Amino acid sequence: MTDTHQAASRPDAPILLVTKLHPPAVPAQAIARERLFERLADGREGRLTLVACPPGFGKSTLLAAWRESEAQRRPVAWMTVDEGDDDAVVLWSHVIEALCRACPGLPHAELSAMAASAPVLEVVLPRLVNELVEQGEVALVLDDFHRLSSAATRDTVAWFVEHLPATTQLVISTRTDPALPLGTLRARGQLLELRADDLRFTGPEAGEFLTGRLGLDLDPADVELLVARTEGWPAGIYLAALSLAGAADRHALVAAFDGTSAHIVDFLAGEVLAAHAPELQTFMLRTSVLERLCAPLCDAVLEDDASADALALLARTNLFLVPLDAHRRWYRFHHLFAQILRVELERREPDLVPGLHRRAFAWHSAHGTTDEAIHHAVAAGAFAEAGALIAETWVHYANAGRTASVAEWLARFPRDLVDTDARLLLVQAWVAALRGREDEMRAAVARARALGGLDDGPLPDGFVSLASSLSVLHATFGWGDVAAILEHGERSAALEGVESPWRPVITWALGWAHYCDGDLGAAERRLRETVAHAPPVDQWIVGVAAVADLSLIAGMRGDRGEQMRLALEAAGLARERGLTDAVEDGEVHTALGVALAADGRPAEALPALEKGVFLRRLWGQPLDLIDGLLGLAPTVAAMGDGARAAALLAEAEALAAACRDPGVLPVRLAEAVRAAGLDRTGGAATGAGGGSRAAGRPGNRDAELSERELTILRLLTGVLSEREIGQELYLSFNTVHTHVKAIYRKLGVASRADAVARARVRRLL
Amino acid sequence: MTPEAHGRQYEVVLRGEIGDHYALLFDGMRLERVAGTTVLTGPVVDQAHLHGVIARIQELGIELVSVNPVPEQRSTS
Repeated sequence: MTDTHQAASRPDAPILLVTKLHPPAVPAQAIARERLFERLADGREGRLTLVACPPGFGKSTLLAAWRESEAQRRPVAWMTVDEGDDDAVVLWSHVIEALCRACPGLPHAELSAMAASAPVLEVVLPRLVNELVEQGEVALVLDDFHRLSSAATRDTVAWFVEHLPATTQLVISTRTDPALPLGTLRARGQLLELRADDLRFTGPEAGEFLTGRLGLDLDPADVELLVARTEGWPAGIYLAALSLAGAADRHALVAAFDGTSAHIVDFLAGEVLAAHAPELQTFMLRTSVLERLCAPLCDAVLEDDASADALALLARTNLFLVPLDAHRRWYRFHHLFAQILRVELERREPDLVPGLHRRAFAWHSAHGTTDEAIHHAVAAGAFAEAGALIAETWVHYANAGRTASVAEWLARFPRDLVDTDARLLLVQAWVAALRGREDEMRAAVARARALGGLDDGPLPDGFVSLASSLSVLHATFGWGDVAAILEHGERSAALEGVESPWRPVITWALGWAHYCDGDLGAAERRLRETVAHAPPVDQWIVGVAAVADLSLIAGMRGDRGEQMRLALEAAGLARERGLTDAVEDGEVHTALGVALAADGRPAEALPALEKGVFLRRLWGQPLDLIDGLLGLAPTVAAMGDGARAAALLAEAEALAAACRDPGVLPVRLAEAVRAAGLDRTGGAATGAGGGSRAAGRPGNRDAELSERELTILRLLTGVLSEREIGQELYLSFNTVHTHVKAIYRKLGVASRADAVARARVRRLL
Repeated sequence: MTPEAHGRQYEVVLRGEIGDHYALLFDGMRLERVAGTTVLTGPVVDQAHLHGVIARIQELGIELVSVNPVPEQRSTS
C-alpha cells in the first residue's frame, strides 16, 4: 500500500495523507463506554458535538470506538487534523476525501478537483453543503482540532458549522475550546458537549479495564485508590496499568503511588520505562522525535535494522503506541507519552537529538514526504537543507493552491536566515504575490535586490538566475502596469530559453499585456506560443488562460466561429485540469460569457460572466478585474439592468484610474459606456471613478498627433514590434510605448490594427 | 493590543510535584515543589513564549493552577 497518493484529476493537487483519514485502531483492551456512546448519538439532533478536554482523556479512542459501532447505522467520516491543515485547501481536500470514502453517493472526482483549485469559502463549501443535503444522515469526525491554528481556516469551519444540513452531525475533538461560535450554538440548543468530567473513568470502568481487560487481578480497594489518585484520568490509569503489569508486588506499587506527592506522570513515567527491556527503552526514547513511525523510518533514524520487531512488540504490549492504518505499517506514540519520552530523551541523551531529526529529514526527503522532511530539517536546525527543499518544491505546492503552507514553513525560519538568502526571499515574494499581497511581495523583492548576486543560478525551481525569477515575477504580477509587464516579460524571454519550464508563463504574461495594450497581433503570437509550450511542462494555469485570451481576441476581430470554438476549448481544458473554479483562470468564464453574448445568448452568458468577475476579483490583479467587468457590463445592460451596468463600469473606471498603466482598457471602457448608452443616463455613476483620467474621454480624441507620434504611427503600419520601433528610432521601449498609448487615446481606439485603420480614414497616413 | 513587557518574570503554579528534569521543557525556568504543587518561576519573553509554556504543561497532562506576573520588587529579591 502507498501512504500518499495524488488526488484524482490534477497533477498538482495537495498530496493526501491517507493515514489522516483512518481513525486510530481501537485497542483490544479498550472498554466500551456505552454511556458516552449514547450521548454522542444524541448529538445528531444538534449541529455540533464538541469533545473538549486535555490530553490523556481518551478522546480519540472513545470516538474511534463510537465510530465502529455507529457506522452500522449511518456513514461516519473521519479525519485527524494536523498543522498542515492550517492551509484551508489541505484541510478541505482531506475532509472531502474522508466524506467521499464514507458516502459513495458524493461526486468524488468533481469535488476533489474543485477542492484543489477553487476558492474554499465561496465555491467549495457551498457546493459541499449542497451535496450533503442529498446524502441523508452522515457524521463527520474532526479529531485533534486544536492543531489548527490559522484563524482564516477556522473561519471556513465556522461557516461550514453554520450551514450544515440537519442530517449531518459534525463531531470535533479538541484540547482547547475552538474559536467557533459556541455561545450562539449553545443558546440555540445546537451544541452537545462532552468535557473532562464526562470522560473520567468511573470506578466500575477502571475495574473493567484493569481487571476485566488486562487481567491484572487487582484488589477492588486498590482500583479505588488508583481512581482516586488519578482522579479517573484515563492516561494516568493506562500508565499505572503499564507499570503494574511489570511489577512483582502490585499492591505495594499502588500503595507507593498513593503515598507519594509526586505528579502522576512523573511518578509513573519512570515506572513505565523501567518496565521495558533496556533496548526497548532506547528504541522508544529515540523514536519519540518522530510524528509518525514505520519500521523503515525507525531503522533509518536509529541506524539499526530491528525496528520492525520492536514496533510489533510494543504494539502488542503498549497502549501508547497507536496504529494509524489497518495494515499496521504506520504508528504514532500517544501525544502525552511522546512528550514524556521527549523529556526523558532530552535529559538522558540531549546530544543525540539533532542527529535523529537530521536522519528523519533525510528519510522523508528521499521518500517525497516533503512536509515532514521540512519539519525535521527545521527541528535539526538544518535550515540550509530545509531552505533547499523549499526552494525546490514551492512551485509544486503553489500550483496546488497551497501557498499558505509555503509561507508557514518560511515563518519557522530564523528571520535573519531568510533575509540573507535571496532564493528564499524570492519564494516569499512569489507566495505573497499569489496571495494577492503586493506590499509583502515588494518588501521581499527589495530585500532580495539589496543582497545582490542576482546573476547567481540556476535555481532549483527551474529559473536560470535570481534576476530571471524576479523578472518573471514582475511580468506575471503587473499590479496594473502594462508597460512593466511588457518590459519584464521581454527581459524574461531573453533570460529564460525556449526549453525553460517558465517559458509558457512568460509568453502568457506578454500575450496578456499586449492584449491589454491593444496590440492584438503580438498578443496572438505570444499566446499561441503559450498554448504550444505549456502542456509538456505541466504549466496548465497559463496554458488554459492563453486559450481563453485567444478567444477574447478572436471576438474583437469579429471572428465569431473561432471565438466560440476557443472559448469552449478553454472551458473544456479547465474542466479536465481541475481549474474550472481556480482564481488564476477567471478569464475562462469571461471568455465563454463574451462568446455566448456575441452569439446572442445573454441569459446563458450572464452566469459565466458573473463567475469570471467573481474569480478575478479574488485574484487581486486590477487589469484582470477590469477586463472581467468590461465583459460583464454590456450583458447586464442588455438584460435590462442599466443602473448595475453603470455601476460595474464605474468600478472598472476607478480601477483603471488607479493603475499605473492600464493600456487601452480605458478606451475600451469609454466605448462600453457609449455602446450601453450610459454616457448620459448613467453619467453620475460613471463619473465617480473616471473623472481623473483623460484616457478615452471624447474631448481628447480629436487632439492633434505630434510629429513624433505621426512617425511612430507610420511604423505601426508595418510588422515591427514596439521594441523594434524603439531600436529603429533610437528611443527606449518605454518612450515608444508612451507615445503609442497617446496615439490610441487621441484616435479613440483600443488596438494597433484599429489605430492604423482609423488613421487611414482620417488621412493621417 | 497592549505592548508586551520584555523579559517579565512570571510565576506558574502547577498541581502535583514534578521532577527537576522537567525544567528542560520550560526553557530553564526555576522549578520548586511546594506542598503538592510545583512553582515555575522565570523570565517570559512575550505572549508567544507564555502560550508555549502553557501548551507544554497541557501536553504533559499537568493541571495548571495559576499564571501570574511577578511584581518587580519580588523578582529582584
